[in-house]
Amino acid sequence: MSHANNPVVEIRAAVKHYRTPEGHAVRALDGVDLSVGANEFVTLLGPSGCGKTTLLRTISGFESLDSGELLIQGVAMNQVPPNRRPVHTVFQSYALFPHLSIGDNVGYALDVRGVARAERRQRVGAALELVGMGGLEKRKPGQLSGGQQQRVALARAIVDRPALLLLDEPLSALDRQLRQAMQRELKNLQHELGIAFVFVTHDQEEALTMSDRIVVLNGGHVQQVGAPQDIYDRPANAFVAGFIGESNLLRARVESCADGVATLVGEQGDPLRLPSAGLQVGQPLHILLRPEQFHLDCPGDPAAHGALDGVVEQTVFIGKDFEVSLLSATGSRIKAVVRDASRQALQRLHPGSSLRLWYALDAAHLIAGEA
Amino acid sequence: MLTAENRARWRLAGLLSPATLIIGLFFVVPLAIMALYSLLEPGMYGGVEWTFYPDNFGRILGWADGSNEEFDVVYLQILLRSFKLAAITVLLTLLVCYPAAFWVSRQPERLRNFCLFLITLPFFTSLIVRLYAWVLILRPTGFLNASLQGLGLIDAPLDLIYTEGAVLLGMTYIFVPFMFLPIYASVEKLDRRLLEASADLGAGRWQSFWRVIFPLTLPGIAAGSIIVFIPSLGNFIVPSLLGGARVLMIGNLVEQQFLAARNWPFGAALAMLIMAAVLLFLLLYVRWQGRAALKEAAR
Repeated sequence: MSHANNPVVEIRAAVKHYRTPEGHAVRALDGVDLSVGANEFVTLLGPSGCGKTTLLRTISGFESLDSGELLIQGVAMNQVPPNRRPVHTVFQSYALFPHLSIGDNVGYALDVRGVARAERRQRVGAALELVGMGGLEKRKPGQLSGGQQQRVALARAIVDRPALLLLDEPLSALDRQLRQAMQRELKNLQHELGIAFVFVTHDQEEALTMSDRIVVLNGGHVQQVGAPQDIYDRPANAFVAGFIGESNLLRARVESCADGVATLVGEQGDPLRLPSAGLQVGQPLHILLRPEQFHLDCPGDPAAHGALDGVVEQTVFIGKDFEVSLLSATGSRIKAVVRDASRQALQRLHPGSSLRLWYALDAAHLIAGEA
Repeated sequence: MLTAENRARWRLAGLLSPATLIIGLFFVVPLAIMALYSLLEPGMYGGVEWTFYPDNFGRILGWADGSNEEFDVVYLQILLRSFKLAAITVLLTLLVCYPAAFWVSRQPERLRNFCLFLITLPFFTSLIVRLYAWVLILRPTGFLNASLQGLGLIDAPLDLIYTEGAVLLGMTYIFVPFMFLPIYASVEKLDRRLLEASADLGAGRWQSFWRVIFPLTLPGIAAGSIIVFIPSLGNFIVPSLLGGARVLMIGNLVEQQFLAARNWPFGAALAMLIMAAVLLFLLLYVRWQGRAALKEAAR
């Protein structure tokens, strides 16, 4: 990604406070930095109240920053009203104008600027064609389904090719099937248009599927920025690990460091020996293990694998795989998804039987933890 | 034996009959009498002669030949003035209520409800008393002139009462609530997110107003205009208190014919003309609405 070279949006040290109705000050943004490159699909991901919508609305201009800088295409935008920013938004509620036809809705940005009639008709037609709604110019928004309204809202926002498109949880009102179809279409559309997208969602699956980069937010802070796979495989902290995908976080502590090998003791059971780079004696850590990283039998060199003992609490067949809930010897609850249960393995998975789960040492991701 | 369908029909008839009776007895029958009277000859000492007599309308519209009745253009002038004053009243109430409705709709709920209560407060006191208060304010020795003179701003009392301005002031004053409530209803329904969408797509405040706010609140404006225009046109209390003999409206004429001149047929003819004018306006409005609805359906 060339986002470092000439970013479409640059946000530096953004701070925004809110006052709740009870009078408490809430920091919606607490020193957020963000840069979005041309033609990049960036997703702001986080639980509700994490600041993602506030961040989006500061870019569109409906919220102003208490402090910090906002540049769009290199121009400072802090004092520029929403209607003079080269940015359009696809709203969560779609916000189509109910009194205007689909054609007039899509043509709104052009009408406001007084684009000539022939060019307007051509561009409205092209935008509707692009979202698969060609020929429906004469309809009214009330006559369309939710999915169709979604497409019209999209066409309306791209009709004059803004530098940047902001999408505020646009798919949250659609049913699952339609949502998945729209995810792919949005991604294709973004590629085709070459416009940068900033997409807000609380749905981690959506974020992983569509994004070039994901910005994980919580409590007004950026928790991690990275490609979907980075974020999934190497979460920066316990929050990201817990928010993205299913995870087991085991508390551990570095007991000793010698000859480049650190020994970890903790909830994983047997002491774990890992390369000691960057680790210090006494340091508290979390060991992240994804459910699908467990095996029933040691798949190779036992020296390169760790083992976890426990008692099976529950086993659920989820099609192809078994989801096992294991109460480990150290008292933590482990969720594992294991494959290929031969007859013997099935017996091992009965609730109450003791089980040893294996994992590759290099799959275990270490996260700095608090004691 | 009553079938289910018959029972339903009887029940419907039972439910509708009180309303039908009241409207029939107190609205349709008097209206029919008025229509009949407007075509009868006025009796010498009030009452009517039972002969067909088109000259009641002739006096107003111009076909009275002078043998029985004189055509006098003053009636049309008064009708025209009534239209003018009613139209200006609509504009003034609109001017007062439209911005106020936006302001009220943005207030926190408790203040909003309090404002709505204040709007309906005038209905708790008598209309005559409220209008007479304006007489006390506007007359030459009234509060306003006395204050201005006391401050030394004017030497002689201003000619405030018994002018078209005074009538307009009074009509605007009494019809503001009628304009406010329908407009407020449509303003409150307005989805603020649409205004954000409009700004987001590049529209300035002025453009957002004309392209989004105005068309979406137009039904409220239309409803308010109609329910202010119709009673304004026929109003006679305000012009008789604040307009005096100088600013007569068509309602005053009707009142005079019935109560003072005791020429019921002529009064009935005037009333019929007002009603015809109002109906014409409503018809145009309904056709305009109907056409919009038809266009909608055709899409």
